[in-house]
Amino acid sequence: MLIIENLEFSWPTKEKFQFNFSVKEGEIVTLEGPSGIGKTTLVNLIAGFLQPEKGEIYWHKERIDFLDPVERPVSTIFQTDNLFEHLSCFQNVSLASSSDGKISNSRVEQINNYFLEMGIRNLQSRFPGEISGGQQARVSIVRALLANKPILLLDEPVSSLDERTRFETLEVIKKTALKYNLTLIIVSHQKEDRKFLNARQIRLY
Amino acid sequence: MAKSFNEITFKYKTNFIDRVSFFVSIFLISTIGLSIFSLLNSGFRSEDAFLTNEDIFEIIKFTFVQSFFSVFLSLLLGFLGAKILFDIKSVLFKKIVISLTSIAFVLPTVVACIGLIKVWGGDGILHLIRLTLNLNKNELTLYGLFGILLAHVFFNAPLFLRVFYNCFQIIPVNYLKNAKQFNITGIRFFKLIEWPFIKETLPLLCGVVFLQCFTSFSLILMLGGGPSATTLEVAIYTAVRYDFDLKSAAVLASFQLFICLIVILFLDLFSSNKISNLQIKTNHLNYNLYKKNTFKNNIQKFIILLAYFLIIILPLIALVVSGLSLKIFEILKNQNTYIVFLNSILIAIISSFITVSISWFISETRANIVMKYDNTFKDILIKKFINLSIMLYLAVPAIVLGTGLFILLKGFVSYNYFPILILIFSNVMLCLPFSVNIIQSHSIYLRRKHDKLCSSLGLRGWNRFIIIDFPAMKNVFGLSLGLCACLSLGDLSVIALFGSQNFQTIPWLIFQYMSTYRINEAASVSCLLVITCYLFFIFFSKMLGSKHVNN
Repeated sequence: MLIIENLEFSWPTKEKFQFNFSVKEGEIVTLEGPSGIGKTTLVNLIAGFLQPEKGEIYWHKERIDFLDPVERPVSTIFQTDNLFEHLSCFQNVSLASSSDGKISNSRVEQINNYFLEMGIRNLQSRFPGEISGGQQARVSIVRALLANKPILLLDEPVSSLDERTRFETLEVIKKTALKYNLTLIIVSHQKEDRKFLNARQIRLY
Repeated sequence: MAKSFNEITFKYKTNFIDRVSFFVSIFLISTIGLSIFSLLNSGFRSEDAFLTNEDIFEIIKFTFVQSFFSVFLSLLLGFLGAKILFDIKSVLFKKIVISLTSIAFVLPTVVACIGLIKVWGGDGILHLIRLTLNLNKNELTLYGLFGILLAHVFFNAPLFLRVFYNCFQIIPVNYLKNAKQFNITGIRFFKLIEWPFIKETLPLLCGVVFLQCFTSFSLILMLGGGPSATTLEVAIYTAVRYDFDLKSAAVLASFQLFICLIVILFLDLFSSNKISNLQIKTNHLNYNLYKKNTFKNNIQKFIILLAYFLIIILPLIALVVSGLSLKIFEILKNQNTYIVFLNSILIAIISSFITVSISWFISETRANIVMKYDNTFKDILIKKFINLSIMLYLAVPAIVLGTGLFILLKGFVSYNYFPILILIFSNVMLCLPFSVNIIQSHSIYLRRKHDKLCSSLGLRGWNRFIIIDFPAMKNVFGLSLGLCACLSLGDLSVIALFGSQNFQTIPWLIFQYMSTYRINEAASVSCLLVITCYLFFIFFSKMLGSKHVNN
């Protein structure tokens, strides 16, 4: 279980946020609330991109809030700039496997399988600028899967997509989460997304 | 056939402005060309030369070595400084560093030399510390390669820092987050995250800095330390001024022109719309990712910040402290000081106004070409020709220009007026690349914003300039005038050739004090020069600034 306990953070503008909630393993939740309420701040705190002023984050009763992002059991997918424009899809994905760029044969096979599973087998050598937003989201999911982390944070991953692609991408996300028993925390402005994912709502006020 | 809107919009301006720009470019290029020709012609006709082939080879070698290491060290320190600036959260610290780097851009080279001597020289602060701590065994001599490198790093590391910092600011924050979540650090972080954002700017930036170091004159003259550490430009000066050895000067000038023209052609390959990358932005990143400060990180930061402190900040402090001493009153009592300042100020004002006027014409012509949807071969040629007229002075030694024009105009112009004319011309050439760059980007922005509206209202020609363009560009003109005045006031190049007891400028006076080892007097005059530059900058910015215009 992921537990966010009395987590506090404030921006230099004196905007102060406090968070308290928990998410069960394998559960899908949506983070909702008006703009500026701190949804992205919360994602950044869980992922380790920001350091809280107070409070703790636990995963399976172990404190993780002092760990570096790479050491946390969390993969994050952002709304934009998920993939490095100057690297091919394969190179982008392989970063999750090895930060020094070296990759074993077994990992190559695993990457091929994930690409196949996501229906983007032929995109490995393409660059992000050459593929659609929905396809980019799938490549990001492959990379998240390859990182082999139990929690997947998604910061408005489908908000810039058209309606059809949005639901196709959500379908992929949902299936992947269920298949690999991922704990999914997704920031969304759309009520339909929650319904589609059959997710629990965490509303920030 | 109906004309496109594009054609109709531009037609009212192009004829007159383009013609003026074209003729100005012809004038600049032909003046420089003729001055080179006259020196080379006189030089190669002379029979005796003091310099042997070995001497010339040594000079070229030293010029290359000091330029290469100057670029390398400035790049390294600039890059590391930009990384620290990017990582540090304090907005105040960032503002202070950026302000300090701005000072290095406009500070006259002679003034910087005084600051460096006060810290690194024989009687400098560091020497006193060494003596106090009994560490005077391996003493470094400022005069020579070491001093030249220090001075070039002083001026160019801040430039690299500012450009790299701007490049880092446009890295998407999610790239940085991805780097964190996939543990991309060290050389891999540089290759994947930083390199793609600096690689576009790097060749142009390195090329410009290389050219500046290669043709550097006043720094080498003051810190070079004799024939063993001299560059092509200073060797030409020595050959002309002290030996009147025109043959050696012609040979050296030919080498310098050849090498610099190759570099300029190389720069032209990378200059397509990249010039804007070199412009300085002062945005601050409002999003800082959490970063653990390890002991190793802190030590690295400390070493780099210490290097900045010793090379850039401490010389500025030392200059102010020693300059604002009692000596300043002695300097102010001397009537000659006022004559020298008046000379410099008048020349700077005339040079600045001429430069800004020419820059506006050239900027408008370049804007006309940039804004056309499809450029013809003729457009491209005109653009290249105008670019050449702006950049040519980077390759041509000021001493060659001065000597060549002197030979050319001997008998036509009285020697009383000659130094003034040549000084104004060299100041204009020196300031043009900066001034055009400042004005052009704003000019294009305003054209895009106003052209359609002006066309629909029938505003054109002089009317348009007075009612629309001038009020909207006043701030930019002010900035450009201020910068040109600072550069003109502090330039010690052509004046080194023509300066005498009868005709002096401020940098020449400082150089004279330095030549007679009166460093404190030189520091005081330097402080007065900095104050004059600052007042000029403020005066032009305020005089022409407008709070209703957003730049």
